[in-house]
Amino acid sequence: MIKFLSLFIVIAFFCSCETVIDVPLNDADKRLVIEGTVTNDSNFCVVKISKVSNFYTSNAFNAIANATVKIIENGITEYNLLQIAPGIYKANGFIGTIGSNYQLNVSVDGKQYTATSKMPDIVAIDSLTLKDDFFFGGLSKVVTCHFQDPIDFTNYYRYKSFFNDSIDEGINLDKDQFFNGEYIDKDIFGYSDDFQNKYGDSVTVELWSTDSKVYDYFFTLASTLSAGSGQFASPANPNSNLSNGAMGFFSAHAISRKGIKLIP
Amino acid sequence: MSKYLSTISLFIVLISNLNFCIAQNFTLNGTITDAKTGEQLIGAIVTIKELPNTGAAANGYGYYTLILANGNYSVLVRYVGYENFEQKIDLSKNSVLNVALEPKGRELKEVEISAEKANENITRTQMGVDKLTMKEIKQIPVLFGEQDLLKTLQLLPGVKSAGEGNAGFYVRGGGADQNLVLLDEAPVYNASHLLGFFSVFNSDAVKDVTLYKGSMPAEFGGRLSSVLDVKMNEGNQKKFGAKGGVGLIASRLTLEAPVVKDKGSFMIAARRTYADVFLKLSADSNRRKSTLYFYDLNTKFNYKINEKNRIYASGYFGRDVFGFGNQFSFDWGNTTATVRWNHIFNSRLFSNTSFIYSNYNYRISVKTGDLTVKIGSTIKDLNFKQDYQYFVNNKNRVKFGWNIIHHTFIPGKIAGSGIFANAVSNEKRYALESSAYVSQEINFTPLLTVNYGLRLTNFNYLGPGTIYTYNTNGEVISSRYASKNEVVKTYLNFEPRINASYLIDEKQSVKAAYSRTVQNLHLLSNTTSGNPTDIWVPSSNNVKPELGDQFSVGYFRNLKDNKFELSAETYYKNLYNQIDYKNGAELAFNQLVEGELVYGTGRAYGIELLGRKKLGKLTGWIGYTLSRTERKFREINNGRYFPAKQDRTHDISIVLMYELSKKWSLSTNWVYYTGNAVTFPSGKYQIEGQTVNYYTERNGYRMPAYHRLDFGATYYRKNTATYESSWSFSIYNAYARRNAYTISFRQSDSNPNQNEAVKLSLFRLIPSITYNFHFK
Repeated sequence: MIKFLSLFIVIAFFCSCETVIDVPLNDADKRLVIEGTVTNDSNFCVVKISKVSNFYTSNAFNAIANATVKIIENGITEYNLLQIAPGIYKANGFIGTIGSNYQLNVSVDGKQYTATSKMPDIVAIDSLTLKDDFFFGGLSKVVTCHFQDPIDFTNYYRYKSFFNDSIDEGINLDKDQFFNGEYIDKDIFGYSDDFQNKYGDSVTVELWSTDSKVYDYFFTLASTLSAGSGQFASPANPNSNLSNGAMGFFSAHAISRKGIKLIP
Repeated sequence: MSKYLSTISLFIVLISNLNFCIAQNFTLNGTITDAKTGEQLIGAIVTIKELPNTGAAANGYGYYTLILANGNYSVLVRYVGYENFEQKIDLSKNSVLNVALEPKGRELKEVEISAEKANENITRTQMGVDKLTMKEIKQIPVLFGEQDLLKTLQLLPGVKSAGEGNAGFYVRGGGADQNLVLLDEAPVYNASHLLGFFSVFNSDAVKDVTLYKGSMPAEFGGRLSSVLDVKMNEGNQKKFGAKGGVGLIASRLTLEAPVVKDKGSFMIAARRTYADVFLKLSADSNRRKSTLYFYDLNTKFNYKINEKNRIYASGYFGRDVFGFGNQFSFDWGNTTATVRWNHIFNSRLFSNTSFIYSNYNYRISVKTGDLTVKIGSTIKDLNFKQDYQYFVNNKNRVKFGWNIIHHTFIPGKIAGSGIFANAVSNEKRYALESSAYVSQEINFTPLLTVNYGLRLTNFNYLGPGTIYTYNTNGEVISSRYASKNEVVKTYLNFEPRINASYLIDEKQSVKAAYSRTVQNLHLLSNTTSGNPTDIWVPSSNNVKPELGDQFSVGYFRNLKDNKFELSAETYYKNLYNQIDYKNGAELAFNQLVEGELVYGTGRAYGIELLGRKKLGKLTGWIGYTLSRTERKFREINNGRYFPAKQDRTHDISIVLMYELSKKWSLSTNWVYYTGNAVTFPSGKYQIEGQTVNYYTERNGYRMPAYHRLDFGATYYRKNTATYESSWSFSIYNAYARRNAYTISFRQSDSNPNQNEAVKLSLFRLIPSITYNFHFK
């Protein structure tokens, strides 16, 4: 009897079922999507330009090849970015400097799109340490990232982590509202399935210092991404810092990076 | 202010002027109770055979008053489910007639003759009122066989379910937070358990349920769209009794007994779910460590000091507990307490004084390694309420009173170790809500009755605390510190209410109503199903009170000696200062949450048709609602009207109950409604290699239509004067329709290059069985 009841409860509570269904969706207006970054690391000064595609088409990068892309540093120095792959624009040798203001100008089919972003001071990672992950009883390790939060101004952080060479796609943000000026020990959990720490592998953590608009973009992007699950009452597009209705963001951020090997 | 005062004085003059020629009349008053248990019978009807247009309904405490000229009369007292009572009286002085009605046994109702004046629905002034009997609630099949008055109410026109298996409800286009849910007068801030699948009401402890969805009477206020007034059982005054049930999900036990026979009694009812007991048996060690249950406890005590004074004390305590080992725990629940004193000044003036305490909170505790974080939120009310009912004469009844509530809001408290050691909790907020009302019901002619009243609500947003001022982008432009009890902001609102009914003949009537309502507490929630962590915020210097105006008209008609009741009600509502959120709003633990809000308006209109059969072997109803509910915000959809989430064009429910034999009764219901308005993506794009959905307009799509058939059967195993037991069987979603609970849009698991729409459906073909017993 107990066995039967137990089975019943499991069925009742957990036998929710998922089915793929056909929901007709409207065709989207083909908005421009810009993903622009300027950092203190030359590999990441890239502008990617694409456009919105219909929901049921394949998940390819819908590249825009005919854009004119320019980045202006502190209102003076102009850099022209050239297409190095479909939809990917880059200026040779261009690298951002801390504390500078950047303006992005993109022109496609006679329409202008702009955004500005200021690269904040770098906040350096002191060290990374390892500890056991107690949460939910798993056997994996957690990497803790140690750094000093500056007291003078509001800091916006984004943590990026890499397991060997694969990037953790989760969006992990902080602002120092609750810990301004403190010494921070931040646990970096792996958010995606393939980011399960194993001995002998290496983990790299990047600490990005961003401006408030970029923080707001990623904060709202995180809720747009989770809204796909259907639980949120009113999903919406993230708050972009780009003009003229473009999707995406333009971010000038300072990166501090450290790596650690997972040793038993 | 002087405008209001003059209105009030006009009112008082009007009332006193109508107090005419009463000198030669006598009063007849008393209390109507159940002969077996001594429970007071709310709404029992007292009529005088010789005077067809004279009658009274017992109030919420079973008390009635009639005013009659000197003479001989036959007094008839009726109440659903009880034998009629008739007595001849010779009224030559003010008299008291207390009546104890004998409950009817469980017998076939085939030969039941419709009682006289069974046309209550026609003659009652109030429109947009739904009453359900506990018998109906117990007979109608529900999910897991767990009787639930909120789910049964959702089967009535104008009342919509918040979702599959959900106890939350929407009334006439209002939000789930715009319903005032009262349990023995105490507001219940979160009326559901287990994320909405069960309501907090244990039906064994409930005596009476009334839902006001139209014009709410002037004695109620504080919410825009409806009042759900739930009253608990008093407990058996004659002898010890016990009842309970064992179900698949939960078990219940209620004990009741006299404290002093015929003078006082108590009742205690408890309920607990036991899904977690089975989790302990699981082979999976993680599942064994999990905790998942809810319980609730209702208690009530009452004592009749003498014929003029009676006191009541009642309480509710309920909690949901989720947990995982000692690493994670999450619990939430309501606590309410009410102490009341009924006093009969004289046969015309009845008074009730209440002290009410109400509290809702949640707590989350997370422990990981050496780091502990505890977070929590609370809303707490202290409430004093004074109500009077004055019987001027049979054609003129007056109610008046006042109420003062002190609210404390603790929106987010954080405490912890490690980096959370110095975590800053959100500041507490305070408010004082005071109101006064007066209303009068007058029979102008035997055919025309008008009930009108007005309510004044004064809301003070109080210090101490930091007061922020925001610009239109929701950014703080200034802040200052308000000292303790400093009145930061005051809102005075005037709420007129009027109901009129005109009796065309004994079988049909038309009714019309207008009401204004004000709401000063606002629930912030951005999930589809509601969440225990949703927080309440008061009206403040930034948040204005929500206002609602409702106009309604109805036609009521009975057929075949009142065997069939038909009604058509139509309503139009305007809503002001409605609240929505900015994109990506942070609602929890945000000191500056007011900066995340946007304000707009709303409108709702519809028609509700109801056909009901109340007598005979076959009873039940068919309800249909055609409606539209829209909201408008400058920041959303370019300022155009858009359908609110709960906008459901069509809503049908059919409920049938059939007495097959003395041993068996059967029931079935079928519901159908248009899917909710939802926001689906209209495209996608790539950011950092991830696919992001692209949205164009708020609530521009529809969920698929929902429909479901349930069956129920009750077998009465034993039924004697002292003991009753029965088995209830039910099947929820009998044709196993996969109704969509959510639809999510994501990358396909099988082909990551493609996106797909995935429907999550919850309950299909859920059988259940419950054993109920009652030692009477």
